Amino acid sequence: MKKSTAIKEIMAELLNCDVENAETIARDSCSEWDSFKHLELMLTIEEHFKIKFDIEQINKAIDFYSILELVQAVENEA
Amino acid sequence: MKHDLKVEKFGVRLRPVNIKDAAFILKLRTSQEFSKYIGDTSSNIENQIAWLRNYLQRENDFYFCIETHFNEPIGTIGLYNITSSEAEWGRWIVYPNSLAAPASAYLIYYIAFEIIKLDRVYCKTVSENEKVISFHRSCGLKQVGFEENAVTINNQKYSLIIQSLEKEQWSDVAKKLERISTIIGR
Repeated sequence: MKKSTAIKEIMAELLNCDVENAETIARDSCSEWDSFKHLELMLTIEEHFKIKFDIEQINKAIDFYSILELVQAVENEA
Repeated sequence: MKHDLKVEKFGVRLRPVNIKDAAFILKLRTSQEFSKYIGDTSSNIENQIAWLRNYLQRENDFYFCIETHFNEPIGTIGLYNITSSEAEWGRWIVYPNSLAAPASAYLIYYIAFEIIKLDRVYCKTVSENEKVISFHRSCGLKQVGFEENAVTINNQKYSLIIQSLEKEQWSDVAKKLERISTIIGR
């Protein structure tokens, strides 16, 4: 499965949105994207891709594109 | 009343507030960024100190400073209106970038259910504060009440959503909070 598809599917499941809409939602404007869900989302992405984020990276995750960028950056570091 | 409860987990500590915290508390509670939905607070440090002195004499009220294990203050949280079976929690302000909201919620529930041995804990949140209401729902709290136009903040009336956690649900909620809090405790 493509990386972007996997991230969208995880976002859709945890943030209660359609997979097609995952690209359009943002942490600031989505009321369901609370601080519990944010950590749950980042932890689930970590587990899926077998990577680890640091706190600074977790704070930088604000939408689909920033998460995709973070996953690619952490994978490239490995 | 002795305010000596201190708990720590996931690299986050709740310790009793003291008079020396007055400036930090005032900064938090008057910050436009963090206190949009917090009850009105006097911007006078003397009033904050007087409030803390009064609090330190009060029964059934625990007010904590949330800090890192490096002793850096990152927020506040409280447990109050304590009866033999239940209590309200609130006064909750946490620096968002600390990611300590779930850990601090875990610790306040730990105090309520494991130390004070309460049967129920509830919190009242301004209905417009959607992120916090969603946080409690994500944890597994149930909405049990609604108080219309119950508080005034900046001359504006707001309604309150009441969400509750019973002792029987605590272990499930604890597991959820433990799982996500490990991300900051590692």
